[in-house]
Amino acid sequence: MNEKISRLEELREKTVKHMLIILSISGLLALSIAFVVTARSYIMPLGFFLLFFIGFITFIILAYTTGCFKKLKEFKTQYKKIFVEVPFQQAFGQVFCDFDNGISQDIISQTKLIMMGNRYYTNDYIRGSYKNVGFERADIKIQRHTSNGKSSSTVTYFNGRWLILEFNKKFHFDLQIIGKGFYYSQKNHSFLISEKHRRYKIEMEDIRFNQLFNVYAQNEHEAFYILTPQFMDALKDMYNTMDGDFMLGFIDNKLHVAIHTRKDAMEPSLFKSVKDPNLGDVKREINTIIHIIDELNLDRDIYK
Amino acid sequence: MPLVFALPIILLFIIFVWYISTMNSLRRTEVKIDEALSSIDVALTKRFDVLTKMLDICKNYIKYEKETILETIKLRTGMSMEDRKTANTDLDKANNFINAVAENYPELKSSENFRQLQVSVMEVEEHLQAARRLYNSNVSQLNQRIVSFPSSIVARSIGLSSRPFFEVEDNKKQDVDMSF
Repeated sequence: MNEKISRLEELREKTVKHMLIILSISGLLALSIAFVVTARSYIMPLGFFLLFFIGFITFIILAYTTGCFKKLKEFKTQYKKIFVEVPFQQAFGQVFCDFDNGISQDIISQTKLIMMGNRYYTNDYIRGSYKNVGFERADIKIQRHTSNGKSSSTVTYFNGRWLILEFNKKFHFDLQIIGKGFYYSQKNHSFLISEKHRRYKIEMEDIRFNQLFNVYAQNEHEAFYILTPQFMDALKDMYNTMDGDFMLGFIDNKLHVAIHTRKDAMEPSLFKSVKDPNLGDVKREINTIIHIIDELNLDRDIYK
Repeated sequence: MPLVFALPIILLFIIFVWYISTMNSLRRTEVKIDEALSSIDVALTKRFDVLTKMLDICKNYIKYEKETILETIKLRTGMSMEDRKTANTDLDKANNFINAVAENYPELKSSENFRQLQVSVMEVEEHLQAARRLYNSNVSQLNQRIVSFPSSIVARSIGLSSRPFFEVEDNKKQDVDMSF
């Protein structure tokens, strides 16, 4: 393992040096051109514009052609193999990791739990099981980008981790539990939606729970069947300990947990030594999965 | 001048619309309560059926025929809340009795059929709890509106009265008598 970490550190240093060289070349070239143009035209803003534009383009071209981006990707992949896959294997045994891919957009879209926007990014897919409860996780970012020619804006609907877990009760209707602060969820609540697919707002008998969560379900009875008093207590505890606003969805006999952390977890920093890695994100990931399965008693297999 | 005449009419119209919408809302809540009651009846019937099947399996081991144990339990349409509570308590007794028999006969307890029926009983009981909680939640909402002003005015005028909760009986909170 130490040998792998040493090799990774070498790769990191090579990548940093490579990047700095390309940055220097791009900078010098851009500076030269900008200086010449400014000296001839006496238009300062044009000079600044050229400085950044040419610098940026040159950097991108050089980075692609000299393999710098490839090295960066290799570094990230190796980093995750050592500092993500190994801790996950230690915690859960056999796991399957695919850091370049994630959960497909179709799967998320079909849950109708969240607004989908027009940009979808996903990576860091991991599949495993804990106490015989299968889980999948991936980082997901969903955005809506609009542009009218003059200006553009990007709204981030969701940026965080998405978990899909096996649930130990059979259910036939969708149920959605949205933590206060989780915006951009799709409630399917409107009267325009057919009655078969519409979700209705449900008030549970726990006042504090109703203050922290909004519940939408296609069937009231199923909502009370799944949200037992113990389950609601566990969710209230999770509300205080989770590292982001979250939402749960019970769809097709699976439990979806979306945690809006506002960042892409487990990404390595190129400018920090890997000999002293920050494993806080990975530990938090592992603990979140364990916490959810333990707190919600998903391993209770009396119905299987 | 016309405005002086129009204002009371507008006010009356608003009160009328409010009265109708409040009345409809209370009636809808009543329907939801009846729906929840029906879910309780379905769950009770399911529980009775599953326990009957379990007793069928147990009949080689127990002295009494299943009819003796279950004959006191009468499930029928249009039961009162008291009847439902009584039926539920009797089903609890029957369930406890079956479990006690299973504890005394390990070969019964380890039988696959018996185990599957135990799982079914647990699932049915959770559905019964869900139906009971849903019913109580809807009753609570109706009762709150009946006692709160101004919806209490409408409730009184249409003759609505508070509905009883599906509560756990006092004798269920004590140890269950295992004798038949």
